[in-house]
Amino acid sequence: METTSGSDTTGFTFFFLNEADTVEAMAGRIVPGNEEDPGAREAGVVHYIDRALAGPYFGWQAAYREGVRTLNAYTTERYGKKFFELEEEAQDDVVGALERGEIPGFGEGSEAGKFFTTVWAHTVEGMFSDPAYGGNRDTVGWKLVGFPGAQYGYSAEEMRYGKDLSEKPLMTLGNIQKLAREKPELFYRRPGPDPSVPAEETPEMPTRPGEPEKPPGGGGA
Amino acid sequence: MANNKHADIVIVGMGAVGAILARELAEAGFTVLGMEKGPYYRSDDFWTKFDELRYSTRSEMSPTMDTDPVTWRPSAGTPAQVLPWAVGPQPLNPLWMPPSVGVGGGSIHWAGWAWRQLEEDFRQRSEWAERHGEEAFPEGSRVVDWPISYDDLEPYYDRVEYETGVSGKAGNLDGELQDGGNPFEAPRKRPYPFPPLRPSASNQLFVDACKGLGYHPFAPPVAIISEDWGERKACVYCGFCRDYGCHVGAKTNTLDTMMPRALATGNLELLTNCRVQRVNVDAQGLARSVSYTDAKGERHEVSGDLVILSAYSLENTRLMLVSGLNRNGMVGKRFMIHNYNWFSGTLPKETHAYAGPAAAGWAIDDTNPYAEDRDGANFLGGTPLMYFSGDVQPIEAATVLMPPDVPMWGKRYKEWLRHGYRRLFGMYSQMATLPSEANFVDLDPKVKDPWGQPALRITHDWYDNDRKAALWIRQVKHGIAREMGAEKTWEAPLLPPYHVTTHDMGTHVMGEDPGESVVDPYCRSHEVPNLFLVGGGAFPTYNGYNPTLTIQAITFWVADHIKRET
Ligand SMILES: Cc1cc2nc3c(=O)[nH]c(=O)nc-3n(C[C@H](O)[C@H](O)[C@H](O)COP(=O)(O)OP(=O)(O)OC[C@H]3O[C@@H](n4cnc5c(N)ncnc54)[C@H](O)[C@@H]3O)c2cc1C
Repeated sequence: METTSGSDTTGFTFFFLNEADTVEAMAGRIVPGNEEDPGAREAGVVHYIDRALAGPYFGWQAAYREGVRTLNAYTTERYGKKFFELEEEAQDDVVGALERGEIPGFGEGSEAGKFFTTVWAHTVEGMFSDPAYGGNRDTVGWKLVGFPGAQYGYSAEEMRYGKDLSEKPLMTLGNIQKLAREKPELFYRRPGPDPSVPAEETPEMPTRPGEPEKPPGGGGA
Repeated sequence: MANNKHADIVIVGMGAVGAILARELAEAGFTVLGMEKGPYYRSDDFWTKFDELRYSTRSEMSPTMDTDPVTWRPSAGTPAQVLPWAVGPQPLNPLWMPPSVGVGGGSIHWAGWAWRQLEEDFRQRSEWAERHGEEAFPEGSRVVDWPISYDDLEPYYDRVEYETGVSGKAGNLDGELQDGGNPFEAPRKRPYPFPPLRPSASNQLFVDACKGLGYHPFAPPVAIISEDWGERKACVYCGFCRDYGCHVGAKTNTLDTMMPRALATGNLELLTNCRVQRVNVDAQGLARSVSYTDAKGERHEVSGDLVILSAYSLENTRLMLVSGLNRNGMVGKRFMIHNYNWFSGTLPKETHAYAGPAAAGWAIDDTNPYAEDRDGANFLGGTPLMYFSGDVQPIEAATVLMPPDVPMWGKRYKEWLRHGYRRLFGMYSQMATLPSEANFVDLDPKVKDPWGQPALRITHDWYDNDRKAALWIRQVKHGIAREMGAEKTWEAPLLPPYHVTTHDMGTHVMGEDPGESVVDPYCRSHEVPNLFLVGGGAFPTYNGYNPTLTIQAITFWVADHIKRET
């Protein structure tokens, strides 16, 4: 068996394989895509969801585990296949039925609809949150919608109606954290004593900090 | 367990209000204990705040229903349930969470609109009775005049603007109307300390449309500085503003503007990560101490000669009720909120709605309650109308800001995201509910927080006046959007699903009559003479403006009073 050098970090830590495949296929119907025009699958949304479930969203673990099982039980009975094995059209029919709460086995009331909403919400998060969270690979989500990301700021020239900003280099959290390390002078430091900051880090406090000699500006008048 | 700390003054809550009180009173020489249930943020905590998921979607700095449950029911006699304040991935739920936790409170991640009220807003009952007749007040409503006037607060508005930093264009200097400012604003003694911010990319379309329709657009007052000021840098228009801390110190918050000087006095001791749970009143009917739980879960008590509650309107009120302080039955009455009347659309070209602060968009105030020529206005109230095209990140756009006729998944969803996000704009307004007998808060009989204290229960619904107001302002927005050449527009429901807003006013209202109010005009409790309750809770009526500048002006007014009288 061939193994790689150990640099592949795309493994799942919460999902079992059939769950990852099911959730990835669902996400792929929510924001469809392909190599040229990436969607949720290409963005690696399933990795975002897996990480979130293994961490801050542990409260949703059971909903996913049971939701995937119920969904695959339904498609197996109806089509003889698991959800992710279906053709895209059939997947769309199933997702539509799920959204409308029409798939049996999810329990009373709107449980099926709730499962759809949960996967939908997490798919959107994985599509458009910072790549540091595991989704939005190569910032494909941001490129899709034209969002320049974690920008330090925008110039007057850039903030013009109809201005094409597609050439502006995209920034991620990682990029701006690097900037903060390299050029801390671009950022604000609160003057004076600070109960949670060592004294040597804080700027000297002016006699009446926050209050200039004369009122700043002219009120535009 | 008592830990025997004592100070002249104990202040509960170090937010937009409490931090001002702490600095003012510590500088005046009082010893102060500042109690805060959240942390003390470092300034570099916000250097890398560019994270929609963390601060907006997951609302990292806001309280959650796990620790601070609030229940809601539409009317007395109906069952109450815990409100989904949309903390966590529930984007289909309303996104109106309470202000942030930690020193600075809501002023850390607010949007920064910094309005003064109109002179007339301080005498709503008289103004409306004169204009519309007594019969115009709906049954059960309790519209009153404030016990304080605009003239009382003018010097204090001025102090907030100059001591904390507000950008804007004066509209009325000492009675003289100024070109380009808000012609409806109350007379002010000086211009704003900073000139207006650069507005959003598509703002000019809004301005031109408004002018074409005969309205008077202007740059609204915003608590974000447009020029460098000491260590604070001018706004750099990053577009991570509403819901976020500021990385350059441009956005005004009380952590940066008040704490350095307050701490430098040596008179202030901060107790952070300490949650106050009760005010203890002695046999003489005086507040003696407060009980709190620290970060380790241990209970303590600290005492003061004066106790001030500044823990946000709703928490001030809950503390009163759990402490058994409601002799006249007025605590919790007159709960008032805003209907935000969200309106969205797309324009033919790129709007860059992710760039710059939302609050920098211009506004009109021809829609205020006292303006003439409000065609078809058949309700009590009014609101400024604000252009909203900044601070809009993709998760919000792909969820709560979706047009209702576009499918939420599949090819058409994707095509919409590709097209719509680039061209998005919004308009925003705030129709206030009337004070009434029907809308109030009290303690939930069943639901408790993790420390075993009763949750706050909101009893609130939207009524006929709210519906008429929402319908009217919606038509105004449609008129402007048409004139702007919008491709497509859509709106939030006329009467929204939320009943808590971060603009939660009333519940410990001020008044001269001890039978009809909770605090006096200086926010002193009628029931416990050495207890003050400061914040939006003291508002006896509400209006269309964002409340915080008025709340903070009242705070300086109260601080001056305490310095004088104590
Ligand atoms: C996203 C957002 C945008 C906003 N935008 C605007 C705007 O543009 N313009 C505007 O005017 N207003 C705006 N607001 C509202 C504004 O934040 C509030 O009006 C303001 O913060 C209220 O001030 P406060 O001091 O009464 O409460 P807060 O600022 O909330 O301060 C209360 C403090 O008390 C602490 N506390 C609470 N309970 C306890 C307890 N039991 N023990 C100890 N400490 C406690 C809290 O942690 C907090 O620090 C916005 C709010 C939010 C959330």
